[in-house]
Amino acid sequence: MAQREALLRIEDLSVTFPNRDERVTIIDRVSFELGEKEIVGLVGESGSGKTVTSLTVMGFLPPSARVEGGQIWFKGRDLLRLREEEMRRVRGREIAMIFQSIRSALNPLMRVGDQVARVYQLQRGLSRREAYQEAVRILNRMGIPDAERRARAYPHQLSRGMCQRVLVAMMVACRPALLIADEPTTGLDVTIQAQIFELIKDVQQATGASLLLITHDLGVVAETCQRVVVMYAGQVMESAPVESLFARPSHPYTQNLLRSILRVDKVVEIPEADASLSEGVTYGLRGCRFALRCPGVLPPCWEEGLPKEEVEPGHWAFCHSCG
Amino acid sequence: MALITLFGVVVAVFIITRILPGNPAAVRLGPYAKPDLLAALEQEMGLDKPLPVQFYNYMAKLTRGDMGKSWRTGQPVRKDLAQRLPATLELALAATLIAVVVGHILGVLGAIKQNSLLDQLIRGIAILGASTALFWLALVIIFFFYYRLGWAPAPLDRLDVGIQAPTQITGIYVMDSLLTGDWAAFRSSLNHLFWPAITLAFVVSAPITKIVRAAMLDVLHSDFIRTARTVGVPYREILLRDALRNALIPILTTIGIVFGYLMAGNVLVEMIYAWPGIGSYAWMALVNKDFEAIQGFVLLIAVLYVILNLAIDLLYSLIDPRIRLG
Amino acid sequence: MSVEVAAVRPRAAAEEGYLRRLWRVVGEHRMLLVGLLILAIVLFMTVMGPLLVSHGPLETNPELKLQPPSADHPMGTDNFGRDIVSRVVHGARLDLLIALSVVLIALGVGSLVGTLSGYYGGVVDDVVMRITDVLFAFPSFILAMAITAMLGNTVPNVIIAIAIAYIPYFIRLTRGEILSAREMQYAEAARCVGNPEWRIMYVHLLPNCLTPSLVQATLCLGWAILDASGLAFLGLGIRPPTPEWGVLVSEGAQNIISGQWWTSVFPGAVIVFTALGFNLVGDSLRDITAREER
Repeated sequence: MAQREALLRIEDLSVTFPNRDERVTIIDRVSFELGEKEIVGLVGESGSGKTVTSLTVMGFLPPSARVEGGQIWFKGRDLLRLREEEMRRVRGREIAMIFQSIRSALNPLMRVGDQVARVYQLQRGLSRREAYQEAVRILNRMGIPDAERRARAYPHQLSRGMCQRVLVAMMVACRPALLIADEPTTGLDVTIQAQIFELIKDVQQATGASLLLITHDLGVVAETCQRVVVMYAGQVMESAPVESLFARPSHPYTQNLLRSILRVDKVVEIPEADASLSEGVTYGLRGCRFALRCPGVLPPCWEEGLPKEEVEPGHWAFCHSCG
Repeated sequence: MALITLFGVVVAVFIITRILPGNPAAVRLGPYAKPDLLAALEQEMGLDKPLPVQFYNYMAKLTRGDMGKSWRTGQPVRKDLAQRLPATLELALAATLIAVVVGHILGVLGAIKQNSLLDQLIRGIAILGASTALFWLALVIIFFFYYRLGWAPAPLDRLDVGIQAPTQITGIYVMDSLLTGDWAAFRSSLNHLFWPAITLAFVVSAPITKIVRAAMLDVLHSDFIRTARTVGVPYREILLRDALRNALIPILTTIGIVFGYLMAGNVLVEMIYAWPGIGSYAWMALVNKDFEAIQGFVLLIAVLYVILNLAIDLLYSLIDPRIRLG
Repeated sequence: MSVEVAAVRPRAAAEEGYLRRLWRVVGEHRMLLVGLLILAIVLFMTVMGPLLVSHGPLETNPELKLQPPSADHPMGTDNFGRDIVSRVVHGARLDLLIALSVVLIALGVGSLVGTLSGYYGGVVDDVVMRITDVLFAFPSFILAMAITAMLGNTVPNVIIAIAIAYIPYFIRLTRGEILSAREMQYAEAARCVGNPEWRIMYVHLLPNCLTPSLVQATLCLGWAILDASGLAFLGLGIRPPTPEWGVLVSEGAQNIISGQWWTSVFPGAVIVFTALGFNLVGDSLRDITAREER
């Protein structure tokens, strides 16, 4: 089967953090991939390791964190092996990321127009004046009314929705091959949320980038994404095309999840719960971390080594008792 | 707001000098004073009048700018202070300049290379600076660099004997001699300025280093720095353009604090180096129990401090658009 | 499922050897340990010193004046032939006594007033804050200097003067803590049960709010030593021939220019050493308590 080489392939990634006297494995042997021009949703409860995974890709882990194993393949290079200067060249130009914090992500002392313009200067080599003009243009295209005037504003003078548009503009200016959006609508109004997701989707289509969308919101995933990766307690539970996942969830965790939150009348978000990680971690589970709560748990689930079953073509469940 | 503090300061100085137990006249004359002499002096100092009247007189004189007369020099305190202020300013400015530059360099270095050996060394130096007794340091420096090595001039005054002071423009010898091209005076005054300045600077740079380092660390870990990294802004530009400017805000606060240390240190340093500024004036006033002079000195310092803090607040609003535009 | 759960035990925390853990903890708190070591040395010197020195602090020996350090006089002698080691060691008692008294008074008065101010708010708070602002407008050394000059040169006066300069720090710290503690549930509970207000303030709230003040107290101990010796150096407070570190430095100051450095350098070095100890301990305590909060 001739497969296109994936743009991003994460293999067996494990990251530990110190916690008092010991090290806690925050993400455990995570593997999934992202193709070109593909939109993949990364979902899970709080504490499931979604953000840590994306931070690891960008090289933004705090110094206390340690990558214990695995590779991150991007355009033929293992990002984990790169030195910081090389990684700096990758950031922006190849991979860009939008974070959960919106207003604090912008420099409070600089006008937003200048902040966007700086990206154009850096990444596209434009002159200061050209860069500023481009900045105003892109702010306009991002849906900010009266872009010329707004560009002269400071972040604290703009609404959060507009700040997020500014941030998206900065990412677009980079023209990356891969765009990561980590909960880009945290704290925004529901209506604005929809607009921002639309915006991101438009950007993805217009630039042809791949998009890794990290979110709680399964509704958005259903509408926007082509494939979904489900995480729990730092491990990948299931990874499938969107319709497969919703129609035929194979992993007991996914089944549980969808059952508890999907209703006929509306799609609800995955609730906040961070017990997942601490349980799996405290009990030093070597195998699947859902084992403690799993209705279909089997003896091999406790052992070292994560199973991987291809339930359907392209639909993977990391489970012994799937199907 | 500051006016209330200012008023409070004035009242406080009055309380300290008049209300506190202890008869200034008795202190001045010593324990063997004859009662009639004591009474005469009390009358002269206005101590025999009831407190409210004393306060009124005090305020009345102050509004006229009259800080009383120094009994040691015989001149109005205001004149004495005005005469000696430029010398202190020269010293304070020099020390502040050195301390701010050194403190910032060390603080930024420490923040960038957090927890490295260099950082620990820097933190160690900062703590050492904060623990150093200024008067001892001055003596050590004089001993080493004047007595042993002969690099420093004799710790006497601002110029070598035989060199004329430059024509008065600002009162700051180094400046004036530079402006008038008086090279002999320039070299001499610089030489004399250097040593007390670095003595002060060593102690004062300690809190500056600490605060710059803390402010930079804070800023370096903030979200917008991460955004800048995400879009690939080179490290040096991040440091200079984003981090430093944002760190400036807490750093400005230190300048206010530094002033406090500076003034306190000034008395000691000026005394040891025989620097003719308001600090040594205060010391001589203390030794001679010249209460009017002490009062004037303390008042001046406090007022300067309040004004300085006002200026800092103003600077804040200039730098931070959040405060300016609301 | 229960059978399986029994097979899994919570990961034992004793995976790391005991000695290794000790070493790591020591490494993390190096600053604190060095500071404590310094203070231990100072304490030893203060308590045991006077018993161990061979000469008295006021013992003059005019023939032996201004001797450089030797076996008999490890720190040399001063211009009256007195043994400097002895004077330093005796001076330690005085300086530490002053520092301790200053901090106790400042901490005591400051936290009491701060509690009042933070708890009641309103006019009381405003007045207290204004007074604190005024006190802060003076550099603490200058304030202490002025007060000592006015009160007279005795040890109690020096203590009071420096304490007054430090009190505003403790008022502010305590007030800040009380402001947040006031809203907490245990305060609410104490109120509901019917405790009189003074009890709520001082028995329930204050003890929980003392941590930052205690850290500041440690730092103030160091500052007090520097300030007290600075005042003594200027001739305020403690006068010769009483051995006190600042006095010793000032006595020896005139000798510096003629080369007899030991009369000033040793006492001053001891001042710096002691202040260093307090600063190290205070700074690391501040780091530790800040970390715990996070």
